[in-house]
Amino acid sequence: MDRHRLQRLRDQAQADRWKVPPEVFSNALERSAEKAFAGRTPSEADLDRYYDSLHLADLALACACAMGQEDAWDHFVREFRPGMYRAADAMDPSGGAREVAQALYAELFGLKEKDGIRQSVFRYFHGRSSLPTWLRALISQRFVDRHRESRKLAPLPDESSATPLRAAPAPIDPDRPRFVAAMRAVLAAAIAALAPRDRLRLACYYAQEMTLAQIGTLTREHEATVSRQLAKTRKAIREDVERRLRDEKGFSRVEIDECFASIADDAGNLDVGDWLETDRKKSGTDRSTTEELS
Amino acid sequence: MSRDRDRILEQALKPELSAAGTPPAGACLDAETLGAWVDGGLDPAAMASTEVHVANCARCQALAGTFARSTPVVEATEARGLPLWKWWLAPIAAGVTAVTLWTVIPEQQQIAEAPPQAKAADAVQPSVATEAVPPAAQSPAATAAGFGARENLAAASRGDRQREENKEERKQDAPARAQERAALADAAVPPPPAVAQLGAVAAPAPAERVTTLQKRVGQEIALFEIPTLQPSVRWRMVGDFFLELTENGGASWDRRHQIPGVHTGSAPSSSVLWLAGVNGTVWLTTDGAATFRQIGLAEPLDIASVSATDARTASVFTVSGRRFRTEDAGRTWRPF
Repeated sequence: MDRHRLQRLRDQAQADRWKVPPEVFSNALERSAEKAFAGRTPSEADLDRYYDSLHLADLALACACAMGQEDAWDHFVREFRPGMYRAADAMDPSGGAREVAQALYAELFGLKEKDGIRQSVFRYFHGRSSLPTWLRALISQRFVDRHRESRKLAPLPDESSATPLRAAPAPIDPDRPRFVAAMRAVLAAAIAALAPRDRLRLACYYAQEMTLAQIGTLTREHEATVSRQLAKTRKAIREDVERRLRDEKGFSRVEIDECFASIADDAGNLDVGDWLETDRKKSGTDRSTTEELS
Repeated sequence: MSRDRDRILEQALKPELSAAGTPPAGACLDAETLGAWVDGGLDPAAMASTEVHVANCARCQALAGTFARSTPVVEATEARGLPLWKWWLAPIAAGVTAVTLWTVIPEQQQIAEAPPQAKAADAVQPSVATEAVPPAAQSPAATAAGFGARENLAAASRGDRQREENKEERKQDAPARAQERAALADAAVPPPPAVAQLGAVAAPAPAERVTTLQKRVGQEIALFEIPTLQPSVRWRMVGDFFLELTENGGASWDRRHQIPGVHTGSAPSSSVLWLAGVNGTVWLTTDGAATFRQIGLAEPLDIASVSATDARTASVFTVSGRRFRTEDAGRTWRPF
C-alpha cells in the first residue's frame, strides 16, 4: 500500500493510540478491500473512496484487540462488551443469545491458536460497518444458526404464526379444497413474480415483523416510502392473483370470491418447516461457516 | 370488494411468505456483510445482490429480523452517534405532560368528571401471561404520567397531596423502584389489566379548550408520525399528546383524542392503530380511533416501541430491553 495513503488512514484511525503497527493496519485494509472488490480490480480513486468510507477507528481497535493489546482490550471490554450483552438480551430475554455472546467474547479474545498464533474473530472485521453493528450481526448470525441447527423443523425466529382471519361458518363446500389449492398456487406464483426488493419488504414486514423504519434501514428508504411500496406491492399481488385465477384457472367472479374466502380460513396452517428444510438442503455454501469459524 | 380481498391477502401473506420462496441464489450473509448492509457499507451492486438473496432466503430473513430486534436496546445505551433522540422523548413527554397538568388544573376543575376509566374492565377478564404488577398497583406518579387524560387531569386537580406523593416517588432511586416492583410482582395476585373505552374518557376536546391549551403551552410540537399502508392516511401526535389523523396526505389534520404519555405507535391498517408509552400502557383502536381499548402490559415498564401486524398481533419493546408479544389483541402478553 502506498506509504502516504497508509499514513493518512492511520492518522484518521488514530492507530497509534493502540500501537497498531503499520504493516498490521495495512494488511487489515487490504483484506477489507479484497473482500469488498471481490474479483474486481478497483482504480486508485475507487480505493481511496472505499478506504475513506470505512470505520477506521473501529478497524484499528479491532486490529489491536486481535493482537492482544491490553489497552485496546480494556477499552473494548469497557465500551463494547456491555452493548453485546444488551443486544443479546434484547434478541432473547431467556438468555440463549447471552450464551452465544459469551462464547463469542471468548472467540474475540482468541482462545484458539493456529501455528502458535492466537486466532481472534476480530480478524474478520473489515470496517465496512461500525464495530457495534458487526458485533450485533455476529451474535444474530450465531444465534439464528444455532436455533436452526437445534430446531430444524421449527419456524424461525420464533414459533409465532399468523392468526387466521376467521370467516363466518359456512356450509361444507365440496369445491373448497380446489379453491384452496388454486388460491395457494396463484398466491405463491404472484409472490415469486415480485421484484426482489418488493419481496424483501414483504418478507421483512409480514414474516419477520420488522417495523417500517427497520426495513427502511435495509433498503435505504424512508419509512413512508416503505409504507407506500408495501401498499403498492400488496395491491399488485391482489391484482395478479385475481388475474391468474381468472385467466389461468378460468374461474368466474363468484369462484374467485370463494378462493379468497377459502384462504381466509386456511391462511395459518402452512407447514413452514417443510420449506425451511428444503431451503437448508438446497442453499449454497454458507460463508458464515466457512469464514467465521475457519 | 377490493378492500375485503386486501384484508384477506394481508392475513395470508405472513404464512405464505414464511413458507414460500425459491431456493436462494449464492451464499448466505455472513455477519460482516450483514453489518455492512445495515450501516450502508455495501456498494450498489453488492447491495442489490444481497437484497436478491435475502428476498429468497428464510435463514437470512431470520437473521435480518433477529438483528433488527437487537437494535433498540443498543441504541438506547450506546453513545456512538446513534439516534438517541427517541430515548429523550419519554422524559420530554413526561415534562410536557407535567407542565400541561400544572397549567390546566384550574380549568379542569370546572370540567365534569368522566366515568372511571376502569368501568369497562368487568366486560373483559384477560389472563395475564407475564409475572407482573397490575396497573392498579402502579404508583401514583406512574399513574399520573400514564394514560387516561381526563382521569389524570381530575386526579391532579385533587391537589397538593397527590403532588407530594409524586415527589416522594421521584426521590426513590431506580433500583429501589425495581425491587419494589419485583416484590409486588412476587406477592400480588394480579387482577386483570383494566380495559377501558378511551372514547368515553378522553373524547376530543372542545375547540375552545384546545385553543386555550395551545395558548398556554405555546407552539405545538410534532412528537411523532405513524404511517399506514395507505400513503394518504397517517397518524401523528402533536403538542400535548393530541392524536391527529390525515386522510389526504397531510393537507389537513383531524384532531381525535388527547392521550398523554404516548410516545410510539404502529398502524398496520388505516383503521387499526396501536399506541404505547410509559408505564406499560398500550392503547388499541380498530375503528379508526372512534374508540380505544386500554390493553397495557400488566407490568409498568416504559415501552420504547410497538410493532403491530394487524388488530390482534403486536410486539412491544421496553426501554429496559424486554419484549412482549400479543396475538389476541392485548388480552395476554407473553415475553419472547
